[in-house]
Amino acid sequence: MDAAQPTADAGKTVVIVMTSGPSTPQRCATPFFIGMLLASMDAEVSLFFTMEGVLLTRRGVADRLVAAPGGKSIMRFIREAKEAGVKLYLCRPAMPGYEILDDEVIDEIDEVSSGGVLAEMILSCDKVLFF
Amino acid sequence: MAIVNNCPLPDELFYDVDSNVWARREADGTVTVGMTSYACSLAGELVAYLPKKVGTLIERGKSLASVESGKWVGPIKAPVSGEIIGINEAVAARPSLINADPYGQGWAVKMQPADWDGEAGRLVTGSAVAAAFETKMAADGFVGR
Repeated sequence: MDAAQPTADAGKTVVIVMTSGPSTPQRCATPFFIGMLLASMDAEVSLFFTMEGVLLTRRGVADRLVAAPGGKSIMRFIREAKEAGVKLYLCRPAMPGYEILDDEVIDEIDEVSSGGVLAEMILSCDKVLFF
Repeated sequence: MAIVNNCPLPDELFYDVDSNVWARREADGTVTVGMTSYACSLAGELVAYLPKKVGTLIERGKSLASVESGKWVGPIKAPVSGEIIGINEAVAARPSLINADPYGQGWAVKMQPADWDGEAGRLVTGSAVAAAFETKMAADGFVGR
């Protein structure tokens, strides 16, 4: 069996747009795992929470979610992604619709940003992933 | 052989403690790199091994390979700068070989170091190994496997 070759090179930038949230918990772990994997390949990874994904950033929500029975919490995935170097953004315009206040947001978020920031990231990065 | 919290740590190897990797200087000047038994305990049984290509130049602290278990994914970081000159086909076929024999057949990557004499001083070896890992494990909250 040939050794698998990495598909991401050092210096590549990847944006992960996280739209999934508590209504589909089974979709909420893999994006962070993929982010960690890409970061372990020295890619520069940004993950942008938007749409229902913003609910994962309300304190206490991700702690109670698992993607599969017996699995670790989504909050652990979020923390591990951050520890791996994934930069976490939260969509400011989506917050009012989901009734999220600034002081409810988890500490792991690096930046609360506009849709314009996301648009610029998408236009300038090497790869975009939507979950 | 140092053993800290049931993790063997051969003290003739050189360790980047923060990155949890070991390095062995071979007689021909090349360096063999792998994960420590402590790193294997944290990762769990590995199911995937994704090394960078032979010929890739790697800076110290950057990723030589990515490994995945059912619960974790992360890099095997270069303890010194250099060029990747070999990857482990046996591990590619059976990634859990790293868990089974982390210091022997489960080596991760072979490198031609760029400046071993200049960079090896940052690594821990010999009688300092046990204390260095005791400190790291305490900081990580690891009580043993």
